[in-house]
Amino acid sequence: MLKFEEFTLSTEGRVLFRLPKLELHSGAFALMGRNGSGKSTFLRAILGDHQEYTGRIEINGRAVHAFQKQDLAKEVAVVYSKPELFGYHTVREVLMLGRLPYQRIWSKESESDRLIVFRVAALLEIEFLLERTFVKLSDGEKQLVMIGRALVQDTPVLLMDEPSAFLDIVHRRKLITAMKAVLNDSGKLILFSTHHTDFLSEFCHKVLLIERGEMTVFGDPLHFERDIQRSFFPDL
Amino acid sequence: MVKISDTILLAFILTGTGFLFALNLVTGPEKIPTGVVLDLLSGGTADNPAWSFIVESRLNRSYVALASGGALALAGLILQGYFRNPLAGPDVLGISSGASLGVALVVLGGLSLTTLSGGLALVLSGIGGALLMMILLLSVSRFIRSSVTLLVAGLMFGYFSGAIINVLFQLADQHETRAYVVWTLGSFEVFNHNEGLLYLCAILICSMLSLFVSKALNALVLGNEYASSSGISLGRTKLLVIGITGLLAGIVTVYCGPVSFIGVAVPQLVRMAMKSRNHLLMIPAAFILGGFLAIASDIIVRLSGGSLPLNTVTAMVGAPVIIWTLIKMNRRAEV
Repeated sequence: MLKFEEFTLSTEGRVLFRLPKLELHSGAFALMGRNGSGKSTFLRAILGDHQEYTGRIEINGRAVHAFQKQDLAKEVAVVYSKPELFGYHTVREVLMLGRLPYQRIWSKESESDRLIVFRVAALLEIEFLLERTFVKLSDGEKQLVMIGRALVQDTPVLLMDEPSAFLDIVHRRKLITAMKAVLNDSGKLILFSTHHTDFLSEFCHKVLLIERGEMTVFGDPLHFERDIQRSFFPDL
Repeated sequence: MVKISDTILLAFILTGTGFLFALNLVTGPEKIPTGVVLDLLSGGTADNPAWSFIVESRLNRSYVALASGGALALAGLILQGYFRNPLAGPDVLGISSGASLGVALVVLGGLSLTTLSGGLALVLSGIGGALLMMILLLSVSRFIRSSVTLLVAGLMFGYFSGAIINVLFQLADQHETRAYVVWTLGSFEVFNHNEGLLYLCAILICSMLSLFVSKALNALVLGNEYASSSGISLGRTKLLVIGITGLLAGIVTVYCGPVSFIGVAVPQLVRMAMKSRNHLLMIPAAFILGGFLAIASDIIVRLSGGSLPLNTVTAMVGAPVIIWTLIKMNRRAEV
């Protein structure tokens, strides 16, 4: 689904890391690495917002840079760490923003758009929030809604850039439950960056770790924690 | 989906605007019977030949007011949506100041207002100033995260153009400085009929164009990154926003002076009063409400016998709305 070949990511002339070859299919993948290692830039490259790289990123057999913006939006959706909404939208209206790639120039919503919003709200168990004003929600609720918005976008690939950065452990647990529900519901590929190693072994298929200019892939959920520690502290 | 309450609201403002428009035609220092006004508007003649002239001038300034208020409110709505800033507007961000500088260069620089080339130079110079300011602002905005800082930057641009205007002021002769000062007070009364129609057309075309950024503005409520991931081209949006707001604010400023507050206050009111979050509906709503406020202000100006400048009246309405927004903004970090 998501494929990298001879990939080298840079920013402002500086090489962040190399990735000779990687192919990811449906499942959850954690992206780890220290601050500034290039996690966000990596995700932005997949979204087509960062072009400073060599090699190739493919989504379903097609290079990212060959996509029209609106078509790419039907393949990849994203959740960032802190949503800031301008306006007094209800949760339903925020979820509906996920349908923009499918709407024409006048943003007219269709019956099926409304149906998808309702289905996603049911999946994430946030129906009771639908008519609430988004800006008045707690950070945890907001983040669930943002995941909902990305699901409403109905893409095979879902990226999350530190979705739990501002959440307490209870809300983090809720977020993981939501991600599990999504994985059970669909064959999506979820790639999310994080600094937290808790819960990883519960639902992640692989951990992609950026360290010393290389991306390493760990495939053994039972030993994620140990493998990550060893990469950061080789002397231990 | 158009909500019923929004339809009622739009119908209400539209009726109100129509009412004020009519009121502006029949009131004034010169008492003309309503029947005669109607007769003149439908192409008839009056016993008093001066009345015909007066009614035409009232009609002209009414639709000029409507178009100008609408244009400023619309520019404000687009700017607030684009910068995600409830206090943005063509005046606070310095775009009107850019247009003023353009006007000052022509007026204080000595080109006559009355000659055709002078008039054209004035329009081009004013619009150029507005567009230039918009480009400057956008290049700076890349380095600015906080919405209040952006406003301060806009104010600084405004002061800077003000400083240049002051220098020009010192160099100009008395006749030129007077023309400029009168212009800065703002007024909807500057036109002959043909010029007025041209003005109306230009504003209507720009306003229609603005409907094409409605989808981008809908997406931008969550910020640039989310908008981009929803398939919105940020580069194209930026160009459209510069072009449309620069033209709208520039044209209005050249003809009516730097009219303040309508551009900031009206989008606030629209966002508050309307249920729908689709800019496709908010754009016409802002335009009509802006027109409503402008005509209302013009009626007050005319009832005062022209002794109150337009900007004094708009400030009385607009400033409280802005103060109220500031208080609300600080109560909750985001609006």
